[in-house]
Amino acid sequence: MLLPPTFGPALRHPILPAEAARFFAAVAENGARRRVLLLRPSKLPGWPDCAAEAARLREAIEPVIALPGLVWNELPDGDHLAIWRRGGDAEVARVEAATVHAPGVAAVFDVPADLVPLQLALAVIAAEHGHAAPSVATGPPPAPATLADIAAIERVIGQVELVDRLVARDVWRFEAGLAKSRAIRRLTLDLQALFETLVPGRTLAPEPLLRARLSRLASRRLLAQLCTRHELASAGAIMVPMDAQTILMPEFARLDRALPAPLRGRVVLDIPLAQAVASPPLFTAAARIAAAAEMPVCLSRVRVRDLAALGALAQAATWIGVGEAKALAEAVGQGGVPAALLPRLVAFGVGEPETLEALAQAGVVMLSGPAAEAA
Amino acid sequence: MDLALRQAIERGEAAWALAVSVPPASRFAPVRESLTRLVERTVPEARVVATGSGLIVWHRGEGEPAAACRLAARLVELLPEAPHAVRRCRLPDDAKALAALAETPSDWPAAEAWLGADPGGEALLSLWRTLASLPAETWIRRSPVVSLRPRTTARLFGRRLSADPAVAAKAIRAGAQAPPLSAEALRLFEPLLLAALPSFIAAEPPETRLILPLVPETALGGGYDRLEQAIGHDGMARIVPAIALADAIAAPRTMAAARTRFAADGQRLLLACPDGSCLGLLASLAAAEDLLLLPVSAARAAGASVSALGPQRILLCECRGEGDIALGLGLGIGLFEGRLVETLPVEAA
Repeated sequence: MLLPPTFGPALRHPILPAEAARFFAAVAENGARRRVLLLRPSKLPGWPDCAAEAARLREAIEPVIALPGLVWNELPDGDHLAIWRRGGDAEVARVEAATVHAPGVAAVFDVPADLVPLQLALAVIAAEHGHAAPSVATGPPPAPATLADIAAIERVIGQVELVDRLVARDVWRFEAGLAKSRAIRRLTLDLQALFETLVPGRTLAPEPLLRARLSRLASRRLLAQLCTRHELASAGAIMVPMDAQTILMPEFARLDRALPAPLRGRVVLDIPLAQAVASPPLFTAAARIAAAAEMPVCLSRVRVRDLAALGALAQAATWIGVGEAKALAEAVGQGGVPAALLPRLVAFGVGEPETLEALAQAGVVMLSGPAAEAA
Repeated sequence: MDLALRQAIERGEAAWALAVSVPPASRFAPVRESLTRLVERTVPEARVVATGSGLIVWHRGEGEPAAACRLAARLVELLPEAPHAVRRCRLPDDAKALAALAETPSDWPAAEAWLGADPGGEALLSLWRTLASLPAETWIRRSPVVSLRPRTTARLFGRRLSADPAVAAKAIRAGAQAPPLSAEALRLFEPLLLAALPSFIAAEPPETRLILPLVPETALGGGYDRLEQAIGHDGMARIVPAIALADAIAAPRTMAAARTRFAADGQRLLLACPDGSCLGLLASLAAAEDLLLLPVSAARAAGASVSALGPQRILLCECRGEGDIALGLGLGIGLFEGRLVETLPVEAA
């Protein structure tokens, strides 16, 4: 490695090419700007037997490292990404001068203007070293959503068919001996895709508060549609995306009145943990109302590390949804998950047969993902 | 009191009844309506009367039907935290007790009164434009946060910025009596706080920190970069970014990137915990150097276990009385905010 551990800024972050590509895409989406120095010392002529060239390069880099707010990222296999917000023209010029006879050693990019070439460079690094290929952006980044966009959607959401936009994935129940039966059909809604349809050229990514507002609008509309689309749950249980506040709204009361007795217990309400944490009393009240209507609640998007810390929030839910199947299997194996929670867990995204087997044997019976489909 | 129930009691009629106790935190209209719908589905002939402490479910007749037994069992399941959630009664034997219960005033607020109002996107957009045109100091509260030790004078630590719900409500419904805006609706105006920050930084003494509520995405956005251009690195170091625990959970990757940004700007993060039920999650997510925002109710519920979080880095908010301050000092907490704190004599930092 060119830079010894004692050299450079105190903050160093390991980063994969795909992660870096995602980060720069987010920077561009959020309307921010960054300067990036991609440094590949392995491209120095004669590397690694080129002490003089390496020393010259190290000397040229030092002023860059001293730039205010610079963050130093270490790509695998000895490449580096220095990221800062603006300026540094003179410092960059020194690096370029030091590497003028060594093409490919140093390159400077301005995000968002140079997002595409930067992501291509990261794709090349990923390919050279066998890492996951990053997705490469094309075209200008979309503009962030505004409150005016959401206000406009509020006027038309009543006419939007949401049920037809739901994507279904099965959750399977695994009994002893790995015999499986379909337990729940989980329906999800791609909010960003819905938003892009209604307001082309804009993104919700940098605006989580507006995204939450759109999510609530969608939940209310979905409940209104479920009132007349009972057949969705007639073939078995369904899990629908929901937010706690919507359960207090008239749309939920209407669905509760309209739901036929045979479908009670078959409509599971999928509420993300973040929403429960935003207002625990609201979540508790919503879960009570849902329970009175015989619609179980799944507290979803729970990270494995947080399972033991859920406390009263877990008590209010029937199911606990976890997306990190592999990490869950490891935690379960090490006794890191409260035993009482195991039969209530729903593991999403189970990719490998060995993960599935480990989870099922530990008592996690509700599993979803490619391995569960294939089993 | 419900007229039919009053008549049944006065005439000494035979009836069965369930006296249902609902926890105070759940006594609002949508919960009452959902329990009423459950009764209607299970025992269609029964009547439901709301009381100050819950519900009375009753029906004229000698015997208690099997459906009423099933309903009682279901209600016990639904109200696990209420001691003796369901009490079986008979008329005329329990007439006195049921009459007393039915006479208690039953004020179950509507969802809007409990959650706060949301007047809709168009009205919020109009409010946005109004607030953006007003001088920031007229609608942005700058609540003092003090550091305090037993038997010492409070020292100003900084000021926490927030949109004033009363001003916002007045601006949106001039002259009308309206419930304050919901916390979620108010949060939509956080970007305006960011825009107003340079003027506050200039107006406050250089030692005063400004606690700024934001979502992790903001730290990676162009607005934060523009803020840095406006107030410089020294100004940025005076900002304490405050992120709600829920927002940190919702976007873990963005949160990790935001932390890097805060560190580069010399900022110390304040992680805001909504109540005592989330202390475990707070402990799981907080970094050792983070400040922690805790309401008094959470500290009271947690008691001595607050010490595991590191009380000196806790900011106790919603301090309304001397008892709240005493509670915080007793737990070793060092930072305070709230209505009482605003009245304390304060030394400059």
